[in-house]
Amino acid sequence: MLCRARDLQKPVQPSSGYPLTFAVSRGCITELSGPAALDVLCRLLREVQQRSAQRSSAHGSARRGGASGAVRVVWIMTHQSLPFAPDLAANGVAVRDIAFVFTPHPVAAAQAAEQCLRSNGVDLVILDFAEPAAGLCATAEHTQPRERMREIDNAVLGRLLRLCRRSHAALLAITERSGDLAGSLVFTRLVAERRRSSSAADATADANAGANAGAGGRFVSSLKLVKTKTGRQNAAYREVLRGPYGML
Amino acid sequence: MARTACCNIIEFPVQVLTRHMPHLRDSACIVLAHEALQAPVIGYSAKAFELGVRHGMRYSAVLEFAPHVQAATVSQAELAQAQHQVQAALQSLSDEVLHNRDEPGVFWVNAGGLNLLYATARAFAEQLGGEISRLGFQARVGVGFTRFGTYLATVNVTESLQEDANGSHGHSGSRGHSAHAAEGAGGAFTGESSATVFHSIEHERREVSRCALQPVLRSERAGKRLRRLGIVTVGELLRLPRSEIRSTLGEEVEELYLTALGERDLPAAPLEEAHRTPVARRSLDQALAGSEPLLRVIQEMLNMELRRLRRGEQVARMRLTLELERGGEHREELRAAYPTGRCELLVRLLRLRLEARRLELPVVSIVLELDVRRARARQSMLFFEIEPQGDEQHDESLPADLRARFGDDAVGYLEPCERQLPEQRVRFVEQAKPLASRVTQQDESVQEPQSAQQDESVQVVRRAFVVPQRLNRRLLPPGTLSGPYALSCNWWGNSERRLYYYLVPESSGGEFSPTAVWLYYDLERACWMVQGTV
Repeated sequence: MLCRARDLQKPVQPSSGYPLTFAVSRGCITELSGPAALDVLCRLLREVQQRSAQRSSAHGSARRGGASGAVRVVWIMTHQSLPFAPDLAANGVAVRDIAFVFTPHPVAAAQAAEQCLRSNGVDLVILDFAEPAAGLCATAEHTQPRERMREIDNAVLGRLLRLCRRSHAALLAITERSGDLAGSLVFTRLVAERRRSSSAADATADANAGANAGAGGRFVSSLKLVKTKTGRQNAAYREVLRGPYGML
Repeated sequence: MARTACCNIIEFPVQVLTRHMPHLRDSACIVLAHEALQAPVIGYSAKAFELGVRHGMRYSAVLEFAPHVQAATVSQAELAQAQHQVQAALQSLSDEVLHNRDEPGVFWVNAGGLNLLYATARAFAEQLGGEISRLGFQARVGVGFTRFGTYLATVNVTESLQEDANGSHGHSGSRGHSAHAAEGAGGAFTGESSATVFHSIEHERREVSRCALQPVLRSERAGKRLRRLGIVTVGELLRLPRSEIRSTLGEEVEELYLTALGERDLPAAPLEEAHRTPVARRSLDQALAGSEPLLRVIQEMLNMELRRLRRGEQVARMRLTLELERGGEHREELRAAYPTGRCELLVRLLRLRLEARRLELPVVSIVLELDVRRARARQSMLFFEIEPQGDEQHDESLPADLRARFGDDAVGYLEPCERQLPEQRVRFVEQAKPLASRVTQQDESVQEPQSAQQDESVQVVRRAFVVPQRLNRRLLPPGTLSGPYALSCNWWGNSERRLYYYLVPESSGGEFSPTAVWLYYDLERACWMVQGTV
């Protein structure tokens, strides 16, 4: 079978070893789960947006109506529990540059992701399947996304993977539990967890971060590499987090 | 820096009126918003101005001191028709013509690159004035570098401005208008045209700093406040310290200050284009089921309609009504990424939509309605259609494709708002705001990405429901509750009083804590609600 050389390129592990960067994630499917998934995702979003901003300024794209900075991130959701935009903005993410797509179920979300990747104009596609509060709501419709997610089989994932490689884009699925997105084509599985900061080591890390305590509590997030085809399995990466106002 | 020209048809409603009723031209006449004694004045002639009539005065009040003044109304349709005529005339000189939504009769023409056609900027200004006067209107024209500067040049016709801007060319301008401008009326219509040309951006800034502020202030309150401080001209405003403007003089003055500084410009938009909607109907001999046979027929209908389009016309929207076999209808509305005349692009959208919606019954008749608009100059040329390329193409076609497949509300962008309630701090918009207008906005309530870079620590990101959901307390896991944190707002209307809590569920023995619940107790409705998760 003939194919282009660029389609054969493998993701390069950067020297820092941090597993959730664009260099690692591009051209493959990554699954991110756990309570701190959105916290650790901000770094990736920032990186992608900075890259696209640099690229558009390098190309000097004079757009119609003075607009510039294409929407390079598409966030596909299967529920109405959105990331809280002021929190994303506080982490340096340009919220206005993210296109949100609402789909009725995970299979439709995968179809939307396919369409985005086919357009060749997207750097990062996020498939958001995690809806942690759905079970607590009196009126929430139990759509059982986990059962519907099984319909995203290897054939669908294979198509998505090929498109990711062709367009050099990253596909990231946010799930509630690791392994919800089944299949061997998921390149990396990461679990992001969070705990309240208490130890002396955390205090040192906190001081190094150079941030004032603020009104919210301090937390430590841990990004654990559950499955990888290139990196060090079970490696954990920690980060100090500021809690929202009132959360101690 | 590209040149821009402002064409200001002073007292546009009065000029529209006198164009139809020439006998009113030399009399004291006013235009009312509607036919009533309490109707406000929206335009007046020079004679009426001399009698003391001003904008916003009630007709009954005017009759007190000027009983012989003649009053009339001008309908919105007449105004719109006149605006379209002016725009069409101006578009014969330049591709890009924008208008001021707040003030009918004010147009900005992009004069960039026209130096090869016109020997001087003044020649271009005279050409603009000539085109407008051919329609029976008299306009003041300002050629400069910013919308703000050129607009001020047309409303503040002071003597110094005339002398400096016109140089040795001399001009037929109305020197007597300085008194009008200074009084805040922006000059009354006297039936004379004038042109002001700025030679450089520095020249424009220098002259604009001497102009009166009043014509560009929208609210009377802000004007009074500035006058009380002795601030009458743009230059005097710019001498104020920037950091204090918003807190002491309000948002409107701050906006004006930034515009005068050159960081923003006056808002302008293209005039809404008139459109027509051709309709094609076809009753089918045989009921059709499935998307493929239907698409073939629709494509045929579409092709026929597209062939009938006039030159320069393109399709912006399609409305499809399918009549089903046992009664009932199925309606679809599709919007193209950009107005186009290409059948295959429109059929692709139809295919995406029809494949996503499976019709249960066969179709017996099809009605196809097209929203046809005249293409803007950038979209079409004489012989071929220019389509957006690369990223630009992606920007527009991907959301259109996704909307065609998943419905019109499927794609949106988050727009931060200055509100208190978490669910109101963000709203969905259909289209992303252009970056050019974004970077100039300094929204204090929302932290912009750049400011976050200074603090290296990451903030925990919450999830919030678009609409808070009622809590099912039986399903609430045991855990530690932190709070309450009271939030009270909107006390002047439907007040909201909420007590916010974070519930961290007990962990099942591990080091890490599970997802916390962000909930509140609504004191007004006496119920527990889930705002989101952390």
